[in-house]
Formats: sequence, structure tokens, C-alpha cells
Amino acid sequence: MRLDVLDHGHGRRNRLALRLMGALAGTEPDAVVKTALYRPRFFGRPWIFLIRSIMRGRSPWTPGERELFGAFISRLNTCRYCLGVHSSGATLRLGRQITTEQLDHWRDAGDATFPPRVRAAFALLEKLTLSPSQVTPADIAAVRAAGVPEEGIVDLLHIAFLFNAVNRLANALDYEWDTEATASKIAAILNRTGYRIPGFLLR
Amino acid sequence: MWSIPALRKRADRRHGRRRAKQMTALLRAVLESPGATDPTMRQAVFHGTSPDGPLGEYVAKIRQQSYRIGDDDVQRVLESGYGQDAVFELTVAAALGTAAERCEAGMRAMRDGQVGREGR
Repeated sequence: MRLDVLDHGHGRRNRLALRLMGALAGTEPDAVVKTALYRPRFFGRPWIFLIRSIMRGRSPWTPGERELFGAFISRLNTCRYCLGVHSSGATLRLGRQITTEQLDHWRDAGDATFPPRVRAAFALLEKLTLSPSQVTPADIAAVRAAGVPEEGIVDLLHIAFLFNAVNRLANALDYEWDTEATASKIAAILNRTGYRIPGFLLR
Repeated sequence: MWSIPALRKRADRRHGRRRAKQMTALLRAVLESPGATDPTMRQAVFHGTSPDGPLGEYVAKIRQQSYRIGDDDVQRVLESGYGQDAVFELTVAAALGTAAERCEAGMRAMRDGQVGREGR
């Protein structure tokens, strides 16, 4: 990472925890986790609680769909790190391969690839990410018309918040995985842990 | 007695309140807690005010084209006198600020649509 403190500046307890996580997973720990465990009271603690709530909490969207939206926003923001992890996460959760090409050509995709309510969500997420000042009530109405309830629309706005933030952190701080297999491994760990980090590591 | 839809509505409201609290906790921690930088500086960066010099250029890139940030951009900020902790804090503030604008744009459209629907 571009800031040495995020690789080597953790306190003793969290340094040991990261080493243990790496040994158990057989890969370098997720850069988001490394960032969260550095001075966790400043950022990581509330950030991890929010991620968990948005990605795995109560929602009309399945966890797989939320992973898919994360991958979609990451593609729009040209964030290779998050795209790799969350397209793998979506693949894992949805039980079918999610590719960059599908995300790039979502407008042409059939219902079997992306159902209408997912395409309506993509349209809103795209506008929020690329031209937020142009979002109008009509964009919200289009998602509603596709059958998405109000809380599902609010969840989309929160997913947009989450990924527009984390994509910028990943790009600015240079999060990286070496091979796509590592990205899949990170996705599998996030899927297994449900984005949980033991509370005592976030103190 | 509560019906199932009513119970679901209550649970949704509770969930919404909890999410709002989590969002506030995140923004308060990043924008108000003590750190290597003054909270007022983090708040300015969060709201899109870029300072002059290499830091301003770096913050503008985070907001607009973060994928174009390279080692040199961060190095220039460090060489201009900001420590690693300061760069970390300002990076987080800029990223959250840009993301919050997007969420707020959606919330505003929802509210405006609500007013329009009620006015009909």
C-alpha cells in the first residue's frame, strides 16, 4: 500500500491478528481489513459495523445481489481491487459466473442474466456514481416501477455510499491482490465471515 | 394485536434508525475525533474544499479520478509536509465526502418525489 503505516503501523495486538489471519487464509489479509484495523476508532470500527449492516443486514436485496451491485459500482469507478473481490463474491453467492463483460453490457442483458429490478437498480447506481447532480425523482420512480420497495431503494443509496467510498480508498492507497485466485479467496473469506471482525480488534 | 405487515414495518423502521446511527457514528469518528489533522481541515476536505498545492491536487483526484492516482501523487503530499497519518485521515475524509454526496443526491430525489406524489 502507498502508506507504510497501513501495512506495518498497527498496534501489537492487531499486528498479531493480521499475521494469524494471513496464516489461516494462506494469503495476505484483505487490504480493507488492514485499513480498518489501523487506528480503528478513527475509521475502522464504525466502518466495519456499517459494511456488515449494508452488505448482510436486513434488505429486500439478497447478499448476492448486493455483491453484484458492489462489483458494478467498482467497475464504474475503475477499481480493480474491489471489482475482483466483489465479482467473485457475486459469483459465489448467485451461483453463476459474473463477468466484467456482463457488467459492461448490462443494458443488453436478458432477464436471465440480470432481471428487470436488477437492471433498474443498475441504472440508478450508474447515475449516482457518474453524474449524481443529474439524479431526479424520475430515476427513483423507475426503480419503484420495477417492483423495488422503498427500503430497497434506500439500501441502493447506502450501497452507492459504501462502494464510492471504498473504491476511492482502494485506488488512492493502492490496494492490490496478486492473482484472481487471491481475489476469490478474499471473497470466500468475506462470504464465510459475513464481513464480521471480532469486536476486541476494533477497540 | 400487531399484524404481520405492521410488525414488519416496525422492524423496518428500527432497522432504518440503526443504519442512520451507524452512518452518523462513522462520520463523527472521521470528522470530529482528534487526530494528526485538525477536524476542521477534514471537514473542509469532506465537503469538497481542496487546499492549495500537492494536497489539493491529491484530494481533487480522489474525488474525480481516483484510478489515476499514482505513487508520485502520494509522495508529493508527504514531501509537502504531511505525515502518513495526516494523509490517511484526509484520504478517508475525501473518499467519504464524495460518497456521501452521491447518497445525498439519491435521498434528495426520493424526498422530492415524495413531495410530488403527496401533492397529487
